[in-house]
Amino acid sequence: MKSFKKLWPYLSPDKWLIVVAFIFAVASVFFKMAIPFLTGRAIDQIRTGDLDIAKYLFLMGGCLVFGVVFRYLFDLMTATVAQRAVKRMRDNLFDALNEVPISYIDAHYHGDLLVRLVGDIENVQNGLITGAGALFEGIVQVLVTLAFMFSLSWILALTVVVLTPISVFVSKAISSRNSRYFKKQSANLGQLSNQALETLNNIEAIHSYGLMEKQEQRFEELNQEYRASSFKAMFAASWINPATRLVNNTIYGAVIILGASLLLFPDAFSFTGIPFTVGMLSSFLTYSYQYMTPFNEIADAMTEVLYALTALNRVDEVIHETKDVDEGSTPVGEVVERLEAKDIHFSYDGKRPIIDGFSLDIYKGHKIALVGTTGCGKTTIINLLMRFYDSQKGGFYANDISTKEIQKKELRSHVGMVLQDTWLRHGSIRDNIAYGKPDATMDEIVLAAKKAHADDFIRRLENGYDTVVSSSSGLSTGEKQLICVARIMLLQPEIILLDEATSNIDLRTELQLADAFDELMKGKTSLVVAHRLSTIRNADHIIVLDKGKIIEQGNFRQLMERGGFFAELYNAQLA
Amino acid sequence: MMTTLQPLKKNAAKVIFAPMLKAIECTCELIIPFLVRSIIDDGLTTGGSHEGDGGYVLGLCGIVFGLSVLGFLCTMITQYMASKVATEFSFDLKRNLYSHIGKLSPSQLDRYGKSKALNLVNTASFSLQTGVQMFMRLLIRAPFLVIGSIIAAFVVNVYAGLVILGALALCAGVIGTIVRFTPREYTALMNELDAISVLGDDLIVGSRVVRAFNKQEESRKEFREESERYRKQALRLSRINAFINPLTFGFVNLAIVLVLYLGSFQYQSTGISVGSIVALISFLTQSLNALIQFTRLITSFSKAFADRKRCDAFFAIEPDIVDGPLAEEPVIQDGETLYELKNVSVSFGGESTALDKVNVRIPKGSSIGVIGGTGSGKSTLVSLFSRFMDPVEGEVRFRGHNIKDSKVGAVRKEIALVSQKPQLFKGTIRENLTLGEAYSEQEIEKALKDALAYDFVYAKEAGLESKVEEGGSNFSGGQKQRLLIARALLSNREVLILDDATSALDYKSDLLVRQQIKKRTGMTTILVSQRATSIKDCDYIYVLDAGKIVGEGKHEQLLENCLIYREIFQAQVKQQ
Repeated sequence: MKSFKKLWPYLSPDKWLIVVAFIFAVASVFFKMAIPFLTGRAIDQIRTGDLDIAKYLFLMGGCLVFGVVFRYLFDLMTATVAQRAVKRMRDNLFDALNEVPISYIDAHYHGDLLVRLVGDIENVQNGLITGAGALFEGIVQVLVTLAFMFSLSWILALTVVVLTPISVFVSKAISSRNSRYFKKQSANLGQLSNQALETLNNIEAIHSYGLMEKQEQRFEELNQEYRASSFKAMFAASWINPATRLVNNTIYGAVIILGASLLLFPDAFSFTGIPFTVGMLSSFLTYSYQYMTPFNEIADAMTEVLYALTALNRVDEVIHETKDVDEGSTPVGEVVERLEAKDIHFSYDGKRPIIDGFSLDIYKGHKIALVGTTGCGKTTIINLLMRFYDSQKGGFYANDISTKEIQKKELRSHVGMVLQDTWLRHGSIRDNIAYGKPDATMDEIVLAAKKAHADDFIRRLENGYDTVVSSSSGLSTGEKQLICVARIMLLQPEIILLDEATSNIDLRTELQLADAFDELMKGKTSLVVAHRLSTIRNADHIIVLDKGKIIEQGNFRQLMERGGFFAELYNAQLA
Repeated sequence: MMTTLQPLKKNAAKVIFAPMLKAIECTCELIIPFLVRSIIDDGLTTGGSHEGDGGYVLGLCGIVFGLSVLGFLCTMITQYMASKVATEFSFDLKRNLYSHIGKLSPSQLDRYGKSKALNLVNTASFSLQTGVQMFMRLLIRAPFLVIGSIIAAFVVNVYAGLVILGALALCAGVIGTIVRFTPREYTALMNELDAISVLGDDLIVGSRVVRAFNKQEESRKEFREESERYRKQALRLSRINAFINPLTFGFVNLAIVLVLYLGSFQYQSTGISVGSIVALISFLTQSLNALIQFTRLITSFSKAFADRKRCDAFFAIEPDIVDGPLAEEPVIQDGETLYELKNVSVSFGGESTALDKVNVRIPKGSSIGVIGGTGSGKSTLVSLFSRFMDPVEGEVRFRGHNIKDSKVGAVRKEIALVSQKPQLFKGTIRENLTLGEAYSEQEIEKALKDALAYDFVYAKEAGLESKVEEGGSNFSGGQKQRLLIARALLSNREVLILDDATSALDYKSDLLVRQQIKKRTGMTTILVSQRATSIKDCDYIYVLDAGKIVGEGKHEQLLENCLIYREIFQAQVKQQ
């Protein structure tokens, strides 16, 4: 029921379609079940010697046509509803991923989030919606069949009703035992898959050291374990169908025996009221079969429904995650003249302070460099400035307006950034460079690539600028960084953030890039986090961070003369 | 060439025998309606041969039950064999896939797609396993029951037989047509799903950039268009599939109407008795159910079929790096040519080449430096030495003969390669260093010391037995590189190749490691770097730029003659 509540918002816009589907289901099942009833009547008439059964044949033909039409409409309607619901769910989840705080994405495995968008929603569709469809249709079928059976003979109907749960019970018993085997099987498959993944990731090392044979041995062992558990799971599961069939046949036999007794000893069963006929027995044989089918189908669907429930919860969890609201409304003005950090305090976990009282004035046109050892909080400053995270106390001010009061969208439109973690969207190199400026001409794109020293290697690729790339594509990290740099060169943003943007680019190219960067940054505000200190010698102001505090600041010459932490760091890099 | 289904051959007998047992079950099911006919016509009808004989009716019911049990037993044997053969098959298939992965060169795997290859081992083999099992236990059931029912119907009455033949043929026709169309639609649907996955991946991995560039609205729109395409395609598939149930239902019931009609005017003349009508209806419903069950299998089968094609395509990739005929490598002395690249070109198919007519000579025992910028072709050059790829033009000579004449393993076992990728295995530090070979503690300690890894390894409580996570994720970049260098030194091979392997080390550590390596005499070392200081002491240096060798010689010569070398060097010196 709780799960239904979670599912309902996606179904409710189509509630009238669901009502229509229900009507189709009732109509389709009614006409379907009327046919055996009419058959029984016709048989009885033939047994009396009256062979003119045209009336029944026409009625049956009518039922048949309506049955076919309504069945098709029902199937189509459930599929329509299901797929519309799935689309809504996917769109909602995608929106949620677009709106959750960056901290949420950082705290989760990316693969895990992606599985929710792709596989989990598939599971919801397969299990819950198809399963619910089976349930829906099944209930209608059971009710309609019961009505027909009781109208024929209550004692036989009662027998069928009492016996049917055996079949459900048997398949239930089998599947509950199976779930243990299935768990073991998927655990073993996981291990096997990890081994294959590790081999693929380390393939060069494996070939270099001739380890393939050992790897194959290890794979063989895991494969054997998988074979054993998989066999158990598979064989155990394959009991369900034959076992339920056996039970069904038994019930079929019981109906014959009881039906025959009713016919042979009508006096003993006179308390049942209506006299029993062979035609009724024929109808019953069909009904007893039809009555059981939905039970078995629902039992079959149960495993998938269970998967679907887990999946639904995982999807729902993301969708109901607190959104990263964009509450700001104060306009910042056309140009950011002044950027200021006022006594910023920040911690990711609320315990260990990462930024501890950070204040800084950034004037328009200045190049500010952030320097410090790993984990000193440099990247966090960028996260706070872009408002990927919000500080607990203090904050950045643009034109004397707290950035928390400015719409994130507006704030970010003033800034262009290149991060150490290069990200390329799946698409052509051309689209990637033009990411921030989709209307750029090809000449502009090539010019930007040339400035970023990326043009050379791009031309060497099979499809040049049309080569399709992605974050995990075959380009080297350095090459990807160059493409990200080209993005900024094209965009020419007002404020530039570089977070170790050239950390994977060789020195010579980096040096050549420096000129292009100087030109880009001319007259613009820039904040640079640098790994190689030589690249920030010409910064207007260098901030040295340690444990979230500013420990030194000044220009390069001042800091070197001071001979403090910065000078030590600088010399260590050259040693 | 290996094929996907090859492993099934050894179980061919079982693959055929199991469905035959299944046929017994079907036969039992086909006999039951005849028994019901006898019960009705002989036992329950006035004038029947056993009219009113309760014992007769009960006896026949007993036979019905007996046949059900017999059918059940036969089925269970089939199920057992099917599960056995299917898991056995999947076991062999996985082994074949895995060993094929090992046979292909890294660049072939890159081109094929590593995640695709992984999917073959994970998902494809499972869907094929299910496919084989389904094939053995269910595939024969539908055709056997259908054909059996038709024959049985003919036994009852020729006209009835014709009616049932017609109805079931129409059903089979409907199912057949739909089956022909669905796989294509299903593949199209999977492609849309892939597109959804790509968009999702971009959004999750690129969350910062998407937001920084204010692209949320755009990505949202893009996704909505894609999810709409997916929905439409899914609906297309459903629209086709939705024909199965109503049409088969329609044909079967049409046949029932016709049988009744036949019964009504043939009742006296040809003797389609009431019992026969009931039996015929049973045949029809049984066959219909079998056919419907069959259609449910189709999704599994079309998946297995598509996966079989994918596996076959994977097996069809011929390893491009294969052993040569040479049984034994010639012995060469220090100073003689170990490697020689003659006019070697490598291309990935682009406008310009990755390596362009490169000539390199590496004497045994020397130290060679290779320097160049990002994308200059250094790593491609290194791949040639380990024979991870072959040139498209020119020749790589190893110990005086074409490297293609050597056994691949014979070349690789001479080389200790430290590549840019931090390739560490899940396990312990010791396992990652020794890689299963036996070394003394002293040897291990020496390698660790030379690679400047000793201190941080022994600073850990468990020392050598400390855990290493997948890909060495619990170590910093510099620590990983030191472990990799220690591993290479420990292997004590003739040739040491460091491909930008000290990039995460500070300059001082870089220098110390190089000094330790230099002490190991007799070893040929190939140092590839972006830093001029790392290679300036090498016996001979090659300067690569845009795939071409633009300078070669000793450090001092290059400073004088090679503009690019000078620029690289000065870029570093400028720092100082």
